[in-house]
Amino acid sequence: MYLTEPKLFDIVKKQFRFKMNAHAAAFTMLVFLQGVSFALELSNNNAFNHFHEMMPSITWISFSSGQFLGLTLVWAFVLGVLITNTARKNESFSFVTTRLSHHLANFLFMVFASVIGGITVVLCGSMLKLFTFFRYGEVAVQTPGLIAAPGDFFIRLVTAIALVSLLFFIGYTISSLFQFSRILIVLLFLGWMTPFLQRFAENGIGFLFNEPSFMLFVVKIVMTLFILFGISVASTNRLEVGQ
Amino acid sequence: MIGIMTLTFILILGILLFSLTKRKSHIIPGQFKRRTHLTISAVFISFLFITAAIAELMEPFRATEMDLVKVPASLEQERIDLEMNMMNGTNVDSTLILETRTHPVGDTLTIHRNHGEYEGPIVYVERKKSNDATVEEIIYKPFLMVSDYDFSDALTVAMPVWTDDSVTFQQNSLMEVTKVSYYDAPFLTRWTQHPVQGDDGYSSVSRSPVVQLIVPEHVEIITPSGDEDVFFIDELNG
Repeated sequence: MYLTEPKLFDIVKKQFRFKMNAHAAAFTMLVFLQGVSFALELSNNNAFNHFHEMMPSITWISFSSGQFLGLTLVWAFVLGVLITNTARKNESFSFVTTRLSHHLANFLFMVFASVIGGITVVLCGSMLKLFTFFRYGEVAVQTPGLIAAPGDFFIRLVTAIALVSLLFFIGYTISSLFQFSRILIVLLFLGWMTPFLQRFAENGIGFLFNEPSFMLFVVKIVMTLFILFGISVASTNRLEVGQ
Repeated sequence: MIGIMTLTFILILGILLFSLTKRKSHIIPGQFKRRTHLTISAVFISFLFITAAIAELMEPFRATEMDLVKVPASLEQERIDLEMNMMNGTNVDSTLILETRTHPVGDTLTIHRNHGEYEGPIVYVERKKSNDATVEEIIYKPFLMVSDYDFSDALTVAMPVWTDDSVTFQQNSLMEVTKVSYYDAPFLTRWTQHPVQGDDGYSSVSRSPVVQLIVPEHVEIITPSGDEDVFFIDELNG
């Protein structure tokens, strides 16, 4: 019995704030990566020229927000891995905390970072579109924006957040398993070469991404996130503090 | 191209890992404070919101419909097989025909070309048994497909000019077409009403206009400009 008994919610809130500060550099890195993506997209590797002596010449320049998504997914995966490294964990246990509050704070941080990552991916696409409007005047827009198709815009936003969070949690789970047993990771890596695990992975990817219904896709992603998070919690629950 | 992309990704992954794992116990000159990181992020996100708002407002005025359509594989094959079908005498899809005309002809037909070698239409001459003193002319549309997208409507056909017993073929119009397009990451559009597939590299298939002349058997054909672009179906079929 203590005079001030800390509540789990308060601890998680405090730790979440702490993690926001601790990982602030990661958000600057995201800004840097989005800038790199923008520069790569402007380098115009995607211009196609069709010249034929008998035919009109066609120059087709297409821009896509694919680069933004790709680099953001890499960012999410790397950050998911790094969030559980020993140094970060030691910081978390420098004040009153439990393993559960540590994981919950990480969960909140990853969800928050995923939302930021997903939003920036979609908004960077709009920024790129704006650039093309200024640079080329008229542009054939194959994916209508917020005003023309608000539903599509919302679906793209949710899909981006879902993908970024999935990569976050995959990185987090792999890192947690690595701490639980390095041999397990080696075995998983070796097992990856076996047809059984490859088929398992293919089926898993197909289960998530071949889903025709958007709502079911979101439900499946949320379920997968909870499963991955559960694995992470279970694998590190019996570890000593600081391990 | 894929190699460069892979290298870029690996490089960025390396920088990312290095910069995020490198830890310093205290702030040194030149290193951002935590508050600075959050300010940079907040400014960037605000900037994105503003640019996105401008882009979305400008879109109705600057965006054009994607007027290009993907060509179904069956139509592509039909177009490619056109000349073969014509020579074999099998039916050609009527949608491939631009125009059909008939012209009176005497004992000779002179074919001129007002263009350089291979810069005009491809001409096929077919003989007919009936001597009705007319030449049937069938002009087939040219086509140009880039990455399965149909650019054929951008092609204009310079129609052959007929005078008495002669026809003059004109040079194909050689204009320049520039197309600028934008699409969101294909994966993000998977569940939307306007899904896009993205570009799997560019490839093109094209053919000049084809003109088929069905000429009475007795009419002598003269080609003073050379017959590089004129093919006689009877000779081709042996």
